[in-house]
Amino acid sequence: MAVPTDDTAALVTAAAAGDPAAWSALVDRFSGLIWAVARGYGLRTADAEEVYQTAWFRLAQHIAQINDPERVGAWLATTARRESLRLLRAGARTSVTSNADILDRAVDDTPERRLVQSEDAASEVERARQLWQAFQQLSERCRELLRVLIASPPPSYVDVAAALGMPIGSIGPTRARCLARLRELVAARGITSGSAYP
Amino acid sequence: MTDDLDFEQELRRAAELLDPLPEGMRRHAVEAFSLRSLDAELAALTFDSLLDAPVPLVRGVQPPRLLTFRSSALTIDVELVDTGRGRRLIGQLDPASPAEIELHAPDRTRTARADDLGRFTMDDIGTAGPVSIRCRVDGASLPVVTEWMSI
Repeated sequence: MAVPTDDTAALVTAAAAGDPAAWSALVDRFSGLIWAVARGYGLRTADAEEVYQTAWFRLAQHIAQINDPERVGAWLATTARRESLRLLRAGARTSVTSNADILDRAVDDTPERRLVQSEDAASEVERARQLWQAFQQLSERCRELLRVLIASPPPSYVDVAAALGMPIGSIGPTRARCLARLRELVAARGITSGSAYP
Repeated sequence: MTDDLDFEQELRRAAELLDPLPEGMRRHAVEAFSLRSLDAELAALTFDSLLDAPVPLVRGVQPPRLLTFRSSALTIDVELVDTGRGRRLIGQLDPASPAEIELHAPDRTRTARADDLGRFTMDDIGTAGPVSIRCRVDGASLPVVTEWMSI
């Protein structure tokens, strides 16, 4: 499921030569990762947005000097990590949950929305909300790792390692342990889970 | 384990639904490309007191923040001071020289002049968002821009 790396290198080279479409493609490919890093470190929306902007603005400055174009994902992830830590050190407060109103929004359906939304979609959102609440009960370390792993599109382990400052070899075992812990939390809430979405 | 992959995908879907990238952020990222300086030398951050020399926080008092940016021919030292009514930026160029200074944020720019001793000051620079300092030394052919960062 990892992004083909030679594709990424070609995009970086084209963007460095001034191609805005290549740049947009990079934004599409790695925006999810950068957002996930900032949220994984628990930053609130405004601070996470600042990390996101800083990462892209800094890449624009450096695009013609990237030594290893195929590793731009790791470059962005490292930048996001450093900026997140910088904000935390400067006193940015963390939020254990994503915005409380994000969680409430799923429940706060208007009558119109209930008419338009199918029953399946409504229960999918409700299950997602329950799953997300269970997720918040994980240890900080598990939340950090899983939040980055579940970025869209799925990041490579090279990029995950850069995002968290951890050795690539640790990712697999820690992921397994954290997912197992999450299954326990989910089971304790009485939610059925583990079924694949179509 | 395919079970773990399925579970991970379920979590991924939940994140897409409940914690997506906010509206409008992607557009800022795309715009960053057109705002880049094509003819400027980049000054990298080489020192940040926040990370490189952290001082224990005394309740209610923020110590001054010190930053150093270096390009091949110019060093820019920056001090950020909490005046109680906002933040003041005090800059020093090395080698000392007069220059045009611009403080760029993604949506606004402020200007100042560095004097003959390479000193410049900006008051009430605000607290939010990333910034980059653009410096054109009098008589220099290329401006120098600092790496974007949160201050």
